[in-house]
Amino acid sequence: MRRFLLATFVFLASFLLTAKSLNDPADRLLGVWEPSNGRARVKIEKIGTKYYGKIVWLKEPTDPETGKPKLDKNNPDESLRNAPLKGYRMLKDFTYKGDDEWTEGTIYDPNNGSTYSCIIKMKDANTLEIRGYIGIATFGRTDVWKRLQVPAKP
Amino acid sequence: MIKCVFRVRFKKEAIGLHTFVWFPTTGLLNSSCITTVFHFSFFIFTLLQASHFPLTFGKTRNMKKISFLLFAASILLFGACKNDTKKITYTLDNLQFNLEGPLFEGPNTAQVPIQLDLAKITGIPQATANQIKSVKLVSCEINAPEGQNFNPVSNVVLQLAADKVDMTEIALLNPIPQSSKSIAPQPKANELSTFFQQGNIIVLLDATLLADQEESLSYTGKLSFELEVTN
Repeated sequence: MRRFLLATFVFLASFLLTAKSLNDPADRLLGVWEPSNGRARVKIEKIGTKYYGKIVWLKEPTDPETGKPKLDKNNPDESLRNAPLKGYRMLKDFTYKGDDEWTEGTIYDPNNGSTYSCIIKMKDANTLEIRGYIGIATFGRTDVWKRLQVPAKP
Repeated sequence: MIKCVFRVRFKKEAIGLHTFVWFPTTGLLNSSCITTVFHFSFFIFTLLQASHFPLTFGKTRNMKKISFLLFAASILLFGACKNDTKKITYTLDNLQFNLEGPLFEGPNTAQVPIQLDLAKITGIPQATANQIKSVKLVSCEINAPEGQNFNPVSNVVLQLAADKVDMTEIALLNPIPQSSKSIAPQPKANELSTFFQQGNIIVLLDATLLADQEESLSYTGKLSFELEVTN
């Protein structure tokens, strides 16, 4: 009887813990997202308690000038200018504030090598509003990202 | 002429005032070593001036005694200042960077969470975060397992992450020389004390793969930090 009770307790505890992690509202940000221009895809992952996003796909992965993979040639850090753009962590240090909003992060624009403060707002399960700004959020630019639907395996 | 003498004397008196009021009060209260050394230098300067201009400074025997006492006090303070901070080398050894397959072309990330024990690192029982004044990465080494090398990887970036600090690049190697079995990414001169003050940190290895591969990759790392800690 004791064994049965212990097994039931362990099962329930593990079930509840799994359910909690799956239902953590902050983790809804995880996944692969596509900016409105459709030229890249960004995978958002969790490191520690914060959220980071890196470029995992580029519509034009090769540089037409060199015929080689596109490099992060505008990076302010000279030592990283010959690192490939694909895989660059462009969203950094986002924390979940509540109300479908992730704040305190930054977004990197590879087109000009600038990093902006950024707020992510989830409009619905498959839509994000990404607002990059300098100084105060009022003066900035918002882009809409769509979740990339992973096709179910046959 | 009188005006000129007055000005000179006024300056000397001002310096004297600094010596007798500012130096002993702020100098003793402020524990900053640099401030103390600055005060000490100023004090010596004033004493030298006093010896050259005995009429404007140290007129009486008492004044000379006070000067001597202050000089002795500053020597003691300077001596105490020497033991204010100490430098420690702390090594994070045998870090296991596991990149679980399938792996894709481009950067793949391995995370190693570390719990820092400040008392163990500093050798000071009940050490607090405030005692860590400076942390710099001084050397970094990543090794491939026996019989393997870094050929599948084009470059590596090492980063630190923590809950209340922004992710920071600490070392990188780009490109990795062909057939390397051991690499030494170049440490960056970043100040990392805020990470050590957190207690829990995550060491990240972003390894850029040249092509997709099914198999996992595993590397071991060693990071050496130089810490400046107050007693």
